Amino acid sequence: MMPHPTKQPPTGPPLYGRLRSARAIGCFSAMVGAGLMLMAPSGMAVMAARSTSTTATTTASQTAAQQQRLATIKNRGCAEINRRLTQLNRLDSLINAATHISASDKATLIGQVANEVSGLQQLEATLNSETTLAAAIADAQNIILGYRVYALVTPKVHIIKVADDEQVTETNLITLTTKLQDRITTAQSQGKNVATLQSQLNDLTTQAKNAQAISSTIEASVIGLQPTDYNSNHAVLSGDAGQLQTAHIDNQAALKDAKTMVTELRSLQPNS
Amino acid sequence: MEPANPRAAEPSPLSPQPPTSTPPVPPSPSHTPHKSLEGLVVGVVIVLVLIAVVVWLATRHHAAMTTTSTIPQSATTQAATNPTTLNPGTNNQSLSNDLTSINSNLSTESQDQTSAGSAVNDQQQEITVPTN
Repeated sequence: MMPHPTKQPPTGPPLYGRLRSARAIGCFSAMVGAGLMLMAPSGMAVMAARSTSTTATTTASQTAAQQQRLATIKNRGCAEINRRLTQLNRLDSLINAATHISASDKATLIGQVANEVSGLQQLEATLNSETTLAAAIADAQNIILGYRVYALVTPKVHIIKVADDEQVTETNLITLTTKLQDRITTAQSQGKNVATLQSQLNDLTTQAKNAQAISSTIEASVIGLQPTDYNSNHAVLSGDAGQLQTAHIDNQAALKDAKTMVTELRSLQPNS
Repeated sequence: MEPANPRAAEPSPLSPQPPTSTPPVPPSPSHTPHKSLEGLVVGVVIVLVLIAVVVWLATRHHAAMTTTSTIPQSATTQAATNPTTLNPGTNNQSLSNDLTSINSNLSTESQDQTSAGSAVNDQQQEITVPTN
């Protein structure tokens, strides 16, 4: 049975640092506890040997091995949780520093990262308090399956950041098309030949809108993804980065059109 | 090697001192017109230096005022090189500024795409915790 991660509201950065001491104490307590648990059965095994009971000796030995295994799972689980908390802290800084990411996307991503942090911290406490192998194994699996820090959350944050970058560029390109159209109309009213300019503007508009369609679709499809979505479909992010690359190429082509047009407009209307 | 008596090298305050100042030279009547001309030249030079200093200070003050009023504009220009929206205006200069801004937007895209490409490969870090 896999415990569901507890969702808690974000309480403000830094997400990782504020409970670091408590987590360190938790890890230490778990190791001391595991050591005591190892010592107790060992003492029992010695007593059993003195009573010449071979069966009892074997049982005690198996118990000691299980306790050793339990301690190992806890230690490794603790290390994996800490690795993920460090990564989540990096993502939190990245999101907060991003200037082109939309306010709603920023709030969504910060909330998801905060939930992952609080969930992993609680999972660490749970793992450290486990007394059976089965429960510790379930907790260890939940570190991966319940959070998907590397498989989903990390690429998701980066993909949304690129999609939002591109949407800023596309919005600016489309604003520029309006300005360029004004200048073309003015030049045309002055008797200038604007056929080439109009054709370039049409291409610019098409490129920018194509790119905008891609980046907005990717943003809408990725922003709501959860670890469970990745668990049921490992290809849930497949192709997104490639599509964003296509949108980027469209934006580059649109900018090239715009540069050509501005140069031509300067020569047609040098005093504008 | 130190001298046997280092103080021997020092002059005694009681020993007679050589004369330290030369006797004043009596003014020569033939130098008087020349000296007044020199004084005039020195006066003119001083006035010129004072004027130069005043002009320099005034220029410096004006430059400082100009710089102070320019700093915010410069900062605004730098901040506007990668804006989320374009400024209004359709003249040639505005269009050139727009191109600069969009070019900067595209540079940000490129950098973030490189990071996103690496992040997608982070799936490999999702290793399983050994439970055996």
